[in-house]
Amino acid sequence: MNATFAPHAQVGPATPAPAHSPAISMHGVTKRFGTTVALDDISLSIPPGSICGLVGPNGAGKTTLVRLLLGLERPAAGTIGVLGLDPLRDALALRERVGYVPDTLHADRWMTGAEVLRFCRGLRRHWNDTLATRLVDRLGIPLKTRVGSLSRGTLVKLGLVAAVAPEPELLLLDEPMAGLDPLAREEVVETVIAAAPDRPWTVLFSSHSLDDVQRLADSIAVLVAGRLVHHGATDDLLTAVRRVRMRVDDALPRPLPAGVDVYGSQRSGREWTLVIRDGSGGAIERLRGLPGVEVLGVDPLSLEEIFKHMARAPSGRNEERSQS
Amino acid sequence: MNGFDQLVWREWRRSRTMFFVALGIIVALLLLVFSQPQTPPETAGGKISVVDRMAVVGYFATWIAVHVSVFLLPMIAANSLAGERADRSAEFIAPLPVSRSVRLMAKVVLLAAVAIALWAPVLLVAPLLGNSQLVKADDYRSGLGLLGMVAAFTLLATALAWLLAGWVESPVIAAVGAIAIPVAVPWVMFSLQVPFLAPASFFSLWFDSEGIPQSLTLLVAAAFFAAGSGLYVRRLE
Amino acid sequence: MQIDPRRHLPIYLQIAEAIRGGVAAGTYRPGEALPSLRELAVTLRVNPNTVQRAYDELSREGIVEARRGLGLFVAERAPSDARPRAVEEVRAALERGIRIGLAAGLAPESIAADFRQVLATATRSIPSPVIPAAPPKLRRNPKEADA
Repeated sequence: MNATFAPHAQVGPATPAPAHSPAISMHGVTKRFGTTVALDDISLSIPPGSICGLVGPNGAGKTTLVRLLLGLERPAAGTIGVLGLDPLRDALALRERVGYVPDTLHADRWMTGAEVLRFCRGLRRHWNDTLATRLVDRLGIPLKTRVGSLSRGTLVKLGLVAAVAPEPELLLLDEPMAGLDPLAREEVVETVIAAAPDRPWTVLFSSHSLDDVQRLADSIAVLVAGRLVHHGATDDLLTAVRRVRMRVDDALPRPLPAGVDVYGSQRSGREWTLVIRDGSGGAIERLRGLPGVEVLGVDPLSLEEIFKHMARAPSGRNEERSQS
Repeated sequence: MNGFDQLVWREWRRSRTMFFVALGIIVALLLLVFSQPQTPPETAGGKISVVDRMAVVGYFATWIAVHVSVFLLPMIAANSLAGERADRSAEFIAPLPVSRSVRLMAKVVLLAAVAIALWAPVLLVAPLLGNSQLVKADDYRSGLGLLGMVAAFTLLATALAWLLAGWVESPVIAAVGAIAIPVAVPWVMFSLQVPFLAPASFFSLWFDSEGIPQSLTLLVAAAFFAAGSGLYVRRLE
Repeated sequence: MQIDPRRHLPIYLQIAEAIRGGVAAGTYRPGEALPSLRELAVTLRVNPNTVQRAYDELSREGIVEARRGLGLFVAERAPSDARPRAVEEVRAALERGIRIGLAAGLAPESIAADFRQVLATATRSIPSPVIPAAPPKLRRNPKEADA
């Protein structure tokens, strides 16, 4: 099964439009809180059956985006379709089919884990008891302890069970891994993978941990200051972005040749380092061809480094930072 | 309705402590009353039947219960609507497939159940008292009338708490405001001697046959209740 | 099998590489079944789609083949088919390293000496790149004799 989608920024070869209607579809969505613009003209399309990682610095709008999908916020502009439904008009029908894991489960603190699950089960039409029990055992959740006494890790796990047991078609996770110890993190990741029903479900999770995003996500959406600066396949991103080390005799010719889009550049005397958006398609050859320029090396970057560059220079403007 | 029992259960658990504290206060006040040497039937002299004894206890108990409800019901109402925003448990329920109207109904059910628990005994005790030798018919009728006015006032304060709690986030502010405002209003009117509207005395606005008719009190209460409900249901959370 | 997200190689290629290595080293014998998509995804804690892509890649290379209704099995062909590709990869990696060394100003003799040293260290401890083969899950083709 190939995850196909229309990337926001074209990276690598163009991909065809989705064959099935998207699980999540946002067009021109803007959200304001007073005068602050939380989300600015977001257009995003996530096909069913894929896992999308939503990354971005704190305050970039990730939580707001997820809340819009659940119908918990009203957009100032734009349209949103989740599983083919309008989150505001068809909120109830939608929430039956969606599982949501918030970063902090705010269930009443006097409720025990068992009571929380029983409460959620009562409010839902569909609930898989066997799955819930299996997950509780596997994750080691103490069901008789009150929510107020549970550690953050256990709280996340409880929220995960409550969201997964109804076997939703869409799973939304808001920073599920934040503040968890490495073991708990692994358990959460495993659970999300193993709980995937036989009929494919769609997962959107926001995370700071790029390791987890790289493992889990078919596609990555990058939010910076309310704008979607990138949406594309994880692997495409890793194979496209390159760091080019060059020796430049005099000066780097400006403007750079067409097709060489730069996230950032650094200079130390004659040595230049450019981080370019797409190392395929001849950009490196074009750089090699510049007079007085010798390409010393071309290296791939980790997802973390790519993300840092995106966060700093989201529009791909050429930036120069001189050292020494 | 899906999970309505779970919703009502939750509302009960959230109000449980307040309810039992109120019960404790009722019992304590009752004991206090019966520890006084002046309390009938000891001073009545002659033979007192068991039924009459029960009637007297019932009289005091229900009288205390109705007056305690003046405070308890607004507090439960305020906690019901504002408390879940203050402790953020509303955020837990918001993404679940249940409409805000249904959530509101569960809150109304719980509130009504508590009100009935505190007021219904009056209906049981009243016939006993009516037939009792201990109570004069006039006292009995005016006593019931007064209780009726207190109940109407309580409905007003509760409905005001309902409205304030749909609006502010602090249950304490909503509850205090709900009880204080209907008391402050006649006080201000009385102090300023507002023409036509000034009550004859501080309490008479709500508790006098010359004061505001009970039907108007109930009408205002209904308006507050509707407004509060509307605020709650329209919120997206 | 270890998947390192920090390595710059996409995960599906890491998986394919590990399985390829396992087949070449003989840890996976021809005719043996690969773990199911979900099993491997859970074990490695990666997206099942990623495992699918790895399996697709290996199918394309002919290293594994699908048997209708039974899943994916290591191809009957000799593992030596992996060799020409391995040779290519070795040459490419060497060339890359040499260019970097030359650009840095290292002498060819010094580069050659380093190469021999690295080779010696590597051959001393060949890491086993394969998935912990859970024996009950690997089914041998009953017709196939022990290779």
